[in-house]
Amino acid sequence: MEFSTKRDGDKLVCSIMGRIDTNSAPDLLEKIDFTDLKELVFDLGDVDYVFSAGLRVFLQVQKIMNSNGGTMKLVNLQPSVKEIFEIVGFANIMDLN
Amino acid sequence: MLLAVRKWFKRQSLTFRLSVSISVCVLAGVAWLSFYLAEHSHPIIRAHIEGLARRPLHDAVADLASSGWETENAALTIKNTLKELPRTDVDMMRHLLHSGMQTLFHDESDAAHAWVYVFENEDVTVGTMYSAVMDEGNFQFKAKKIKDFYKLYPWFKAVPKEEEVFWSEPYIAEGFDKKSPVVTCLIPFKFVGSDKFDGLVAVSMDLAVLRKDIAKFEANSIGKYWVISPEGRFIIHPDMQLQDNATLQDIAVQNKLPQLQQAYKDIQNGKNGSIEIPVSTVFDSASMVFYAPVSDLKWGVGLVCSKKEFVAPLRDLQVKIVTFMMLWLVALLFLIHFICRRSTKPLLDLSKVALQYGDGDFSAVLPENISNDEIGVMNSAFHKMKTSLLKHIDLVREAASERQKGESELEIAQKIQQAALPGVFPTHTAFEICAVMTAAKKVGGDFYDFFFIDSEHFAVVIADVSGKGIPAALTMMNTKALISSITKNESSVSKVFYNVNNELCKGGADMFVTAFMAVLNLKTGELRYVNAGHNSPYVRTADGYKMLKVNRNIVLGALPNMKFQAQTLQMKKGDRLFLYTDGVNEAQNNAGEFYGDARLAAVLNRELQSPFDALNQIKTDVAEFTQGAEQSDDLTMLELLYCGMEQNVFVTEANVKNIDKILHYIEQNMHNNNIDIKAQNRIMVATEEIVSNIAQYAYQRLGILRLRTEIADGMYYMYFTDNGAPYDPRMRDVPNDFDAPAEERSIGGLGIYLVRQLTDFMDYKRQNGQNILTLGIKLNK
Repeated sequence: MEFSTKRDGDKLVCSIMGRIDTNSAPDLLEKIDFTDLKELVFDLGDVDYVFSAGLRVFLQVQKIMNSNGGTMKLVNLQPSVKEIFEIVGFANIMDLN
Repeated sequence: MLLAVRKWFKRQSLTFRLSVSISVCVLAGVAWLSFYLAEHSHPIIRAHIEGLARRPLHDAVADLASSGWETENAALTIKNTLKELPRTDVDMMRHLLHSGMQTLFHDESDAAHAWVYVFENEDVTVGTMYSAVMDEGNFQFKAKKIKDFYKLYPWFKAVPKEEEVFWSEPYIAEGFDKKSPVVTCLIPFKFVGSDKFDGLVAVSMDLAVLRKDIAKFEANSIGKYWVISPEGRFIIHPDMQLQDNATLQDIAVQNKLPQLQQAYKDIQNGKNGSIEIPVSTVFDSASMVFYAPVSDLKWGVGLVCSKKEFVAPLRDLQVKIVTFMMLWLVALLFLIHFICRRSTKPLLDLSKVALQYGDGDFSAVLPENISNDEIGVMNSAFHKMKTSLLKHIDLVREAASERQKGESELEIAQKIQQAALPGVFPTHTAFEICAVMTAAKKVGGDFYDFFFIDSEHFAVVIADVSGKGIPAALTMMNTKALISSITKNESSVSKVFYNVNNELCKGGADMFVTAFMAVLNLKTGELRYVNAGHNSPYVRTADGYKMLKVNRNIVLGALPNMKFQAQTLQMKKGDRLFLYTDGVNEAQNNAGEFYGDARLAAVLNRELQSPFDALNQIKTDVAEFTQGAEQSDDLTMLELLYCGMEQNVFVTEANVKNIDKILHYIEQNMHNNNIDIKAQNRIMVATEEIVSNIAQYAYQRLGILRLRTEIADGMYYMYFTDNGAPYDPRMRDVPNDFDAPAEERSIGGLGIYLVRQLTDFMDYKRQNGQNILTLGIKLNK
């Protein structure tokens, strides 16, 4: 997994490439600076697979953003990836655009 | 109390104890000496005084006797003249007395008294007294009528019947201007023709003169004299006042000195003697009195000697002796102290040195051995001890370094042995392998080996080199290298052993090796094997483990050019080959019993497990059997499991790190089989979840994961096989909070839920110690 972030005031866009698995998922949580973050966007356009470890991290991030009074958005999901989010019911609690 | 003093004394230094002991002894000696002197000097003093006193006493007695005799003689002369005369006149009397007294005079200073008493009648109370005195040459004469003679001379009892001399008691002679104490010698007389006594002749001794005479002796004598009358009155006494009235008996009674009475009696009986008188009112110091009778006069003479004069010098001597002894004692104490210090100092020095030796410091120098006494002996003993100790320490040190050398040699051998063993067990779809070697403390020469000859042939070797230590380890290395190198150019195992044997024989070392080698054809399962004197391995088929029938052949390295007969065995999928050395079946417990083939076969057949677990189970069983008895030989085992050559199989270590490898294999496999994207995603996510679960839960340690894929009936099947602990993912809890808001969703349990949702078929079974999980996912055409 590789990812790049772009910060603009209280907005952060995080573009991820490759697969989000057990080994790489915790990196995401570490690299994001949540201070004064009101709007977080994950661009998953280049993500092939999201494994359960990845799903767990997105859930954790969603919880943090909710408690900070901010929003989290997942954009450009491939249908196969989106299916995984839907299976575990994340479509109800996350903004999957 | 006494015990406490003794205890305290024992704790003191040797010097102190010696000093005190010797001092006490010397003190006791001095005390005894003083006592002895005091006690035994008494009779000596007495004898000494007696010896000194005898002579002057005798002289005094002789002098008195002679004075008495002279007096008596004068009286007799007068009487004899009167005897020739008729009653005479005054002038005649005067003449008689004068001439009679003349004889008594020795010098001018003498004094003499004499009288003649002529009775008037038969009644002696009345008469004429003719008395004369001669003093310092001056003669006086008096005639006088007397009417009461007895009154004047109260000591006079009666006129004797016979004409004999008798003596008066002391009295005061009167009639002249000088009163003198006297003792008088009396004789009755008769005038011529008279038939009865007509009067008395009396000649007196002036006691003052007598005393003067005696005093002459006193000057040269050791004491003072007294003289007593027959009635015990003092004629002469050092204290003149006592002279007239007191008697010896009176003094004896008054002062309770019965000794005096005894002396008086002795004198009366004419005996000599001596008495001792303690300090009293009469004697101002303890005295000895020597006495003797003056027999004619019935007087007694006593010589009083003060003991003080004799004892005082002795006392002085005693005091001097004791003082000297005390001074000597003090000097002795210093001397003893000095000697003790001097004698014990080498001991202290020695003990200091000994302490240093005790601390391991042998640089301490012993004092020079200068004396031949006990300390000298001890010093030489110390010298000897030091040399012996140093020698001993050297020996011990040498032995220790030898042992260390030996130990490090063993360590080296052990390292060689361990390093020679292949470190990594290959993972292959066609087989599984595991091997273990537990080296004995004193290294044996066991080894195992496995290697690919080519992609289809896999070789396994087990061997036991005779001997121990570095030589065995080197031979083991050599053998191992020979086998693997020769195998590269030689496909026949019998020829491999033939060549290895010849090479080992060339070495000339008297080492031989028992070995078993097998080459497995991974494609066909054919096993070619050769044995060189090694124990028969076990083979596991569907019927369980059984000992493989092998030609034993000869051991390697014994004789050159020996033929080794190879054999063949066809292995089926799931069959196993178990190799071991005699460290297993010949393991001994403390009772000396062998583990044995029967126990080995039993534990092998107990429960089918992965090669890793099977070997561990045997190891544990052997350890339980030996119960901590020292392992005498290396314990080496190897198990090869043939899995058959199948398509679409991937084998790897069940480790989270290898997830990518497995996913990569799956991706390739899916790509080769044109699997649609949606199915691909589902397969990938499911695989990732299952593999990470197996790695985390089924294996707490290194294990093998085998994945086979298959496409059948429009389904993509995945068979996950592992040797881990039983693990059925279907039994995992799944969350039920899918409709809850994010905050309430739990993080865990997602994975298994996902797998369930993603797959269309899921099956789990536990078989032959393996977890077999099957997942099936429908494919979209």
